[in-house]
Amino acid sequence: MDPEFLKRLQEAFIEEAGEQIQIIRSCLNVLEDAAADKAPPLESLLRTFHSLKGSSRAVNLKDIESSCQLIENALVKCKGDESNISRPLLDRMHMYVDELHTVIVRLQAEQDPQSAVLLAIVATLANMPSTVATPSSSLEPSTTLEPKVIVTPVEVLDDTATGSFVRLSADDVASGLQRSASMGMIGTTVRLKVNRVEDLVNGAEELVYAKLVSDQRYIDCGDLQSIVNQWIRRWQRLRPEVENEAQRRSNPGVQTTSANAGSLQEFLDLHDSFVGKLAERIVTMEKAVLADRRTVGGLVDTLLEQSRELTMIPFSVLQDLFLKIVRDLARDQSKSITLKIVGGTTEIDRHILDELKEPLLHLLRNSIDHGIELPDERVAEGKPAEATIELQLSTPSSGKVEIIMRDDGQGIDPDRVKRSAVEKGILPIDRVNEVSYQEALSLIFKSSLTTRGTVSEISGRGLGCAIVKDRVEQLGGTVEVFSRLGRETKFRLTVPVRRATMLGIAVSVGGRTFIIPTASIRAAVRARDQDIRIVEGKKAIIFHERLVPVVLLADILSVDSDKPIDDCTILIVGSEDYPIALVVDDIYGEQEVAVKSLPVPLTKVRNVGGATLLQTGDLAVVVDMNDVLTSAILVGTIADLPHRAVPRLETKSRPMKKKILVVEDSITSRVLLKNILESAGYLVSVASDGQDGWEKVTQDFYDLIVTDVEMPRMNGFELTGKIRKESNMKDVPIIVVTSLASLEDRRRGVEVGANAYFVKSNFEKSNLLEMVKRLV
Amino acid sequence: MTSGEGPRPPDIAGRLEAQLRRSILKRRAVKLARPLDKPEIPPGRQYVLFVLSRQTFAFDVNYVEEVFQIKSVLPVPGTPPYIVGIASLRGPLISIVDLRHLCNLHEKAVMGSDKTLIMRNGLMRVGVMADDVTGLEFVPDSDITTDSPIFSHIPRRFVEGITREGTIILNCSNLFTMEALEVNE
Repeated sequence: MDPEFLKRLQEAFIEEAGEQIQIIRSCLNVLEDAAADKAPPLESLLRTFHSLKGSSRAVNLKDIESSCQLIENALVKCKGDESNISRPLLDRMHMYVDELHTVIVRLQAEQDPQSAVLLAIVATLANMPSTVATPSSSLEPSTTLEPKVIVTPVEVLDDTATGSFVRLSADDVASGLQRSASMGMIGTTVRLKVNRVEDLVNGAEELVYAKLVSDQRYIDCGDLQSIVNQWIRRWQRLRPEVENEAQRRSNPGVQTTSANAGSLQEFLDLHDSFVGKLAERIVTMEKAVLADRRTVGGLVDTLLEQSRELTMIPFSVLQDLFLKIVRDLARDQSKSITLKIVGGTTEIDRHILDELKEPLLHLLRNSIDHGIELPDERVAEGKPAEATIELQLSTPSSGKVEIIMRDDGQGIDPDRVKRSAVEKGILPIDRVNEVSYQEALSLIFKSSLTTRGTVSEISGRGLGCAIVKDRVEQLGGTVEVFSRLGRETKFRLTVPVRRATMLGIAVSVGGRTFIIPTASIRAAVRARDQDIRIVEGKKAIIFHERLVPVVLLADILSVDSDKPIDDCTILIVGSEDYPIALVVDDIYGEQEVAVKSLPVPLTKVRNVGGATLLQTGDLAVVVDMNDVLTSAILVGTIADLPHRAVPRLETKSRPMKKKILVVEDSITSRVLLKNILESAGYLVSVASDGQDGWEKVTQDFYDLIVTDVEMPRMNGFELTGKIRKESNMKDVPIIVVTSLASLEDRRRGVEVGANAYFVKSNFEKSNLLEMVKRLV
Repeated sequence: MTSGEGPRPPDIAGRLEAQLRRSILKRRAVKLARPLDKPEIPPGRQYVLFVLSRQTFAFDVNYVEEVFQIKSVLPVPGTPPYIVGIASLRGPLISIVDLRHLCNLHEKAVMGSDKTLIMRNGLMRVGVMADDVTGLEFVPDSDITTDSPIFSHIPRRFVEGITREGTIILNCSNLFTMEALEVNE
């Protein structure tokens, strides 16, 4: 086959398979719902697998083709007895879909798409009973620990003026699937690549330029009019004189040629009518330009609004992902959980939704890991064994969407939060009793705070809630937490529906205008009113009772500015824990800006986030505050400046490089770990197994130890236990990195005294570094 | 068959006569035709000529999109000197490049004009500032020498060659690439 054609075919297949995976997952979820009618989803499943089989044959993916056939065979047997589809069969299908997904991802990355696993998963299906032999009318008591996740019929509160309710039942979901699968009506919908839509939106945004231009034309007309008016006024003053002169000349007594005199008079008349017409035409044109400006403005605004709406998608696209996560985690932790999603049809800009995905997953994991108790604990508390997590979406006011995530777990214990905050130095111990319940709850948004004794792979790293807050605030939203101890935990997120234009403060530095995102500014003060002091050769001010280093934005941007610092304005930026006083020449005020990325060949310019068109029509550079806050000048200042609290001013030495020991038998992993840690500025020693590690520990001092579990001679658990019991650094933080992911192993790690547990399969550089940073 | 005989009804005799006339004229034309004085156009290209630091340069016209009067260029802090800044080209943003820094010609600080050549090479689209844009000219390939020492101060890969008149022809396909121009910190 023509390779070019095959490639195109494969691209189409990847897209199609992606959708089919979605459909299969939705159908499986409906099939698991005890209350739902199972016939339509089964029908839909059969059809989907059938077409998947056909399309995979077309692109020559034999594994998928034959595995689909096996599934089809198994599913056909369930027909007529849909309500009794066996649990193992459904579990297999879930496994299959997950594996299929990875195969598709591999295919997309142009890797070998062969998968023996696919076939292995379904190979035994033929022998497996497809349905449960007897309907479980015996009504087993609810002590079964079988994890359970169901899609409950979703009730959507439509908050338009009609106030009507739309009820979306499982049947509707299934029949909706049917519709989308079978009735691809030509001409009613068009499938488009997202980037094409975004090009369109960008194009529409560029039309703002047309608006600005017509504004300018209107101003031009005004200028022209005033010039002509000046001319008319001067002419009116002079006119009698010129007319007299003309008449005098045309007087027969004067010596002149009559032809000349007549033409002068004629010209005067002509001039009058000409200037009059000119003034009139300018007024007409001004009116026309004004009308055009209104029309263009209206059209551009409408187009912009409509095109931005093109990128809005319903929240429910995340539904299946959330259901899967809840399902998987519930099973791993032997918990029984129902996830309810209310208002899933609420539409949100896809960028915002994308940004929200991770924070919501964090909260969901947190809730399952910390909040939800085991079924027997719940029963003991007098709660139903099955826990409920509810995600409720609504649009309380236009442009905002509110997401409430509520679970009926054990709630958040404010005393534990306070204790942890005291330990971490976030809360001074003498203030513990002044902190209200609500204040204590909001402490969980501080970075590095967790109520968990140990760090697990799922949550408890103490960064989750801080990340949620950061991300939501970056989007221009807010997040709040409520809790009733022993009863529920509720998070309320409010975010803008659309990625609106950003709010920025226009500042001047060295005579140039820069835009600083408003969201990054905590306060603005006049430098004159501040007591700028010199600490260890660096400027600093006292702000809110803490010492804040002072840095000139001009220095960071390498722009010349000679304004005396006393006449400047200071912006307090940076995080709450590490504020920075950024000096700018002047601030002009806040405005809405649409940030454009820099044009080629400027891929990334330090400290620059992009550019924007100001209301004046001029361009301005938008400052990238992340770069500014990590710039070398600033880092130099902070490193030299203690800024926890004022009293600790005098003593501070340069921080020493922290020493880390990596114990790992696999050379690849060892080198990888070493590189990651060294690039983050740590001093790294390595050991090739537990015994080697133990020898190193007895010879030298380390700030942290990272160890693998499965190693020859002495494994990681033994090493950890030995260090805790026998070494002279019993308190050294230990992170266990391993490929073992079972609950049993985790418990073992905790028992022998590991501080954190990290699973290789979820191995992400940043996570490890965050963990290390926290523990060192 | 053509039917350019006007609104008259079809007239077979008339049409035949017209055909005959045309074929006679054609035969005469063929007979009278003779080769042009210049044998044929030699292989070569059209170039856009522009002046930079009193030196005339040339770009292959296929890479030149237009000549634009840039009103104002916004300098971007943290960029190398060959990036003058960014400007709005009727809406979209475009980077403006100062070739003098890439070709080691440091003569005047200020450009002699606001004329900017908008260059395109694939996805790369940048503006090049010039002291003056002097016009379009056909240069036969045979007029271009590639081993002249005159342009030794300009990186060799940016130069295609030099013409008999001393115009330096720049290599657009090497110059307007991410490799040559990218800023990525």
